Amino acid sequence: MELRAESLPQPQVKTVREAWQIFVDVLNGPVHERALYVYTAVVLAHWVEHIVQAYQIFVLAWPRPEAGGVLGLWLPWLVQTELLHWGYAFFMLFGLILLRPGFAGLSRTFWNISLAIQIWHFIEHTLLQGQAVVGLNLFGAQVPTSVAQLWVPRPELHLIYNALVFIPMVLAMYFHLYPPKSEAPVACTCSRRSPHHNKAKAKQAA
Amino acid sequence: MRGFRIPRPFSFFLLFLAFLLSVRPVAAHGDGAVLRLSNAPAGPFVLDVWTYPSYLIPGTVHFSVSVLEAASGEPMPATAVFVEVTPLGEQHHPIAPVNGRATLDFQTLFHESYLDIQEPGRYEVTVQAAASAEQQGEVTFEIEVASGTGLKVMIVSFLGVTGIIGVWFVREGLRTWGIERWVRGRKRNN
Repeated sequence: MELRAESLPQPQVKTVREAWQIFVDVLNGPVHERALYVYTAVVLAHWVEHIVQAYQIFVLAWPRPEAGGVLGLWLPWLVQTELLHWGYAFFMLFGLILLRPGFAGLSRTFWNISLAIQIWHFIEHTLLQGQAVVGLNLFGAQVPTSVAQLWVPRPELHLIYNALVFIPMVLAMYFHLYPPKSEAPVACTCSRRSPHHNKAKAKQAA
Repeated sequence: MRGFRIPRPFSFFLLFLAFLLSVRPVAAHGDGAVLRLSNAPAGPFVLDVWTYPSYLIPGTVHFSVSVLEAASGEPMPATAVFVEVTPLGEQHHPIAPVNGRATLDFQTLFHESYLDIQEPGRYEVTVQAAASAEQQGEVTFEIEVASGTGLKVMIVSFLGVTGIIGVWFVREGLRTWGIERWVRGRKRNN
């Protein structure tokens, strides 16, 4: 009797929870390396936008409406849409949570630090957006105000937030790709010491 | 997949994202001004004054002023606003605004003024508002214009470090997507 894939018992995904669990397992297993790469590409692009904008303001002395980063030069309307700002903060938080199970050991510690800071950053963004939507400002201010903004001016504050999230994230990725030798191997193929990246060595060992 | 249902919270989330498309941004990134005075009494008026950029360095400094009537709290867009900046210390020559009398913007109710400050140091800013000969008021505050060298070095350093991370990222990406192995294989075949 010929064995066909269709004749094997197929897992029936009936609920969103089941589908989600499969998605998370795949994302933190065989696809973790590529998912992480795509995620980092977006994070890196966003970070570059922030620095370019700071460069335009403080080094090139561009006026406020023109200093919109790289994206703002071509698509100024997009930079003025809250979906980009709040949506990016959400994307970053979502990615940090979604890709977290794939990390272990030292890299997980740095990833957790990045996640904790991003949670607070996201709360600040939501507070700002909430004030803009409702039309009432916190602390009796004339403009929407976030909590930490009481001590640090807003533009610098969000540059600092992004730096604080970005630095531990880069460290987490480095230690994920090049984990200390004492750490146990993880399920994904990210580690440069994994057999996936050392096929010749793996063959020799076999 | 039969029986697969999209949960209601997710639908609400999509609707929320669609709503955000129509909402203007809160100036959270690198483009916000600093509120220097908030509800400052000036004769019959209450003034709010913002400066831009947030960290003042030699160059053009932008002042935004909103004028409210103290008694009613109503905006007064037709008020003439004049901003003057005087260096503190030995020199006392005021710096004139680039556009003379501040322009009026009836849509945003902000009075905009630009001044070209070329020397770092401390300055006294005087903001005068006048609706008529009787209705006048002024406020003063100090600003500090830094040399900006440290900030510029920091930004350029940030760019450099990000560039190094970017190169590392591309290098690792070549391995991630197997392009490095593909190039090596091609070289071997040739």
